[in-house]
Amino acid sequence: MTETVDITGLVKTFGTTRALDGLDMAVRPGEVHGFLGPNGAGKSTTLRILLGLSRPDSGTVRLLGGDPWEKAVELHRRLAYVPGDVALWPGLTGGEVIDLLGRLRGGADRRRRDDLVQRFALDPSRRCRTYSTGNRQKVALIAALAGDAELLLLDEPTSGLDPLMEAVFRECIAEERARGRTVLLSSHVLSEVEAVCDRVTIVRAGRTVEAGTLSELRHLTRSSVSAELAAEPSGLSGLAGVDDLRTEGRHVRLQVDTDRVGDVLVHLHSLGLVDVTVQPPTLEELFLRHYQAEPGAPADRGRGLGTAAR
Amino acid sequence: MSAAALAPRAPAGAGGTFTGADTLARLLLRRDRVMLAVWLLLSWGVAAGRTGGTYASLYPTAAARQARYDQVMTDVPMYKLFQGPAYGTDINALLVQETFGAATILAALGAVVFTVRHTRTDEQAGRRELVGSTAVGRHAPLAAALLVVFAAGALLAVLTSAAMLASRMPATGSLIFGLVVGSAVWISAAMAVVAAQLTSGPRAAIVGAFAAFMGLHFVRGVSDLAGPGLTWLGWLTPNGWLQRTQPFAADRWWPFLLVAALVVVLVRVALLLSERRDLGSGVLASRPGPTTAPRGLSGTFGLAWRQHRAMALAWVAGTAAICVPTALVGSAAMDQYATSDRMAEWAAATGSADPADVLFVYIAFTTVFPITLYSLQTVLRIRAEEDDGHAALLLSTPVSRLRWAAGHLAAALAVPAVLLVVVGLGFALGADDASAMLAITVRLIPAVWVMVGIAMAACGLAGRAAPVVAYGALVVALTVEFGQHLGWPSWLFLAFSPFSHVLPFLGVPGAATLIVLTALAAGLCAAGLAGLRRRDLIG
Repeated sequence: MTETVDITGLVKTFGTTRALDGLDMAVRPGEVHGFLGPNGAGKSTTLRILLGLSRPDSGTVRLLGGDPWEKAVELHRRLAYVPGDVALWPGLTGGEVIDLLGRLRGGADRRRRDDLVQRFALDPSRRCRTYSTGNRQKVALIAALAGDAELLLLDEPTSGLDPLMEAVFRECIAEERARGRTVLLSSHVLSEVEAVCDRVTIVRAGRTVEAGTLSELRHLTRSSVSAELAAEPSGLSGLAGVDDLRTEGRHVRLQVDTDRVGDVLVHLHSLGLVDVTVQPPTLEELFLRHYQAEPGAPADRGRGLGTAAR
Repeated sequence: MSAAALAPRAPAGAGGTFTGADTLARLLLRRDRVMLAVWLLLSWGVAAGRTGGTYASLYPTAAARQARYDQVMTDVPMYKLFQGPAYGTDINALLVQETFGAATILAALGAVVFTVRHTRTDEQAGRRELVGSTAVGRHAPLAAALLVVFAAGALLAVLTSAAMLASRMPATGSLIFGLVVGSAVWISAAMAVVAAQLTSGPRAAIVGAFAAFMGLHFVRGVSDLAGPGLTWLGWLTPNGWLQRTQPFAADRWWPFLLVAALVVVLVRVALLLSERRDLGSGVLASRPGPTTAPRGLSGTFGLAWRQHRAMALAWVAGTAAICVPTALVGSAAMDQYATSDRMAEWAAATGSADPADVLFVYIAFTTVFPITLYSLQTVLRIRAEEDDGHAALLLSTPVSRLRWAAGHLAAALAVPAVLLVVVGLGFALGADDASAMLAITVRLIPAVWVMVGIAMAACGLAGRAAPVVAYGALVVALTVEFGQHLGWPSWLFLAFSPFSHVLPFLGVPGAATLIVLTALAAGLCAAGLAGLRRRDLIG
């Protein structure tokens, strides 16, 4: 299967700064792919290379089967982009910008456009200079969603939207997926990524540190188990994959590798289980684990997965 | 800088709306101390730089001074138009005749840029909102900007007078000329603060206020050139009041009362306008627009036209407004110069028999420089669009870089051509031979295109340094043009200024020259476009 976006070993330097340092990413057709990373991790630089605005120093990049620099114009007929910091022409109205971008992309569905304007509660008659950050984002989103693009490249598209509009955005992404579109969503809003994305790529300091489906990623980290037992616990610390064990009388708390949860539960059961809670890791925990690590330090167990999951 | 000592003082009895103005004034000084110092030094240099005997040595005898007086008043009309009339054969009167125009305009330019920068630009950038949320009065930012710029004007006046007094020039005239230069700052700052309320974009406010000051200077010139019949026209402009204080001649004080009244009225108007509008909006441009795009706004050319349209039409209107009245008044006014040898000589060089045509050709040639400046701004929009992030959004659609840049380049090539045709047609109304007049201005177009080509090449090849390269090329062209009058070798002029090859006073440029210039411009544009395709987008 040809990937919609296929990046291997991407390197881009600005002077002495290495913005991208061997980044890998694969986005499959029809999926909503989350692109996560702290500020300055290289997310926007990657998107600019995908758009043919910058040229990579080394590595291979394929977008919709073509070279994004050489075939920029051809490929752009098939995609729509929402920049992270939406800058619009101050003298044009929002409605004019939506139509202009639609026409440049080869025509937009008028009914869908009007429908989106209504759903996002945008006043299209105002000049762009009078719009707030959120309203500018709405303009770019409506223009992107109203067209017929195969691929949507969205760079933190909801950072200025209120919760109500964020809900509308999630609905729209779900609709796009149902229509068979591919979406690459760079985001900081983890709940949003958890809600809408099929797979994610996590980058830090210009490198991919994790990639895979959310459940694959969860398997790589620890779940927390909290149990109330009938008798004093024993033998838990000898189990493989168990860490951070704390006991207070008959109450036990521990962290366990997600693929070892079964073994732990069997053992706890043998001790006489009164009550138990198993919490899978949240994306936030996944995220923080990588972000808080020193840059350059091996991202422990996630490292091998980056390639394994592809 | 010593302006700091004068500036931070809130207006007395202004109440709560000015609270905090003194603190803000100190902030402005901190932010712009370098720009303020450079502008004041330059203005001071132009206003008082030649007081120390260098000027007097040019005209050592009474006969020489009389000759200079005659040159201004009866020989060469451009002096009255651009500098103003001389009011006496006294060496000091002759000196201020020469410095008046340049000194007041340079003083005004800095004042306008500074005032708009600290009113409208701050508002546009959202800084005003941050400041407004602290414990400052509603008018404090405006008052702070005016306090600093008015203090800078006062300082400039003091320095100018001091330099003149130090050269043992008469006290009254020295004080009056100092006040003239200071008044130019005060008036233009007051105009700028009104413009900043009217428009919502800083660029429009700067251009509007400065063009108004320049335009009024020019109206005064037309009044002086036309003679006694149109003297009243000069009295309608503040530039006319300043000039008619006649330093070192009649030494009039009372026109400064008009200046004071005008400044008070303009500031009052600005405050009233500021009260009537919301933060971030202008009085003029707050109305909603169409909810859908008109058919014309469908491609890069449509978009470029929308972006350049307002400024282009303003330039066409402004050019016509300057050229048509000058043509109508100039022809009659030039009868006074019918016997001037200098004019006859120039007329022969341009191939015309009428000295009036010489005046028109001269003005037409000088319009080339502002028109070029505007053309460079238009090309440099390509870089501005990159910085603003507009280019990234546009280029994410199926638009090639070539098409995107071509929209702006087309505007930069077409509009100056139209403007020079307008100049030609405008002066043709007053010229003897209308078609010859038009031919002269049309021949100037390829030189402007070469400058546009340099700017385009800079956008493609010099990246972030593009504005420096483009404006630098214009400064170099202007410098060698002035150097020509100072006796620099003419190859310098020919090598570094495309305008030297089309200057009508050096003979009519041939077809080959025009073709070579056009080809050079095309080559530069092609190099720039090729470079733009190859490099990373900035931003």
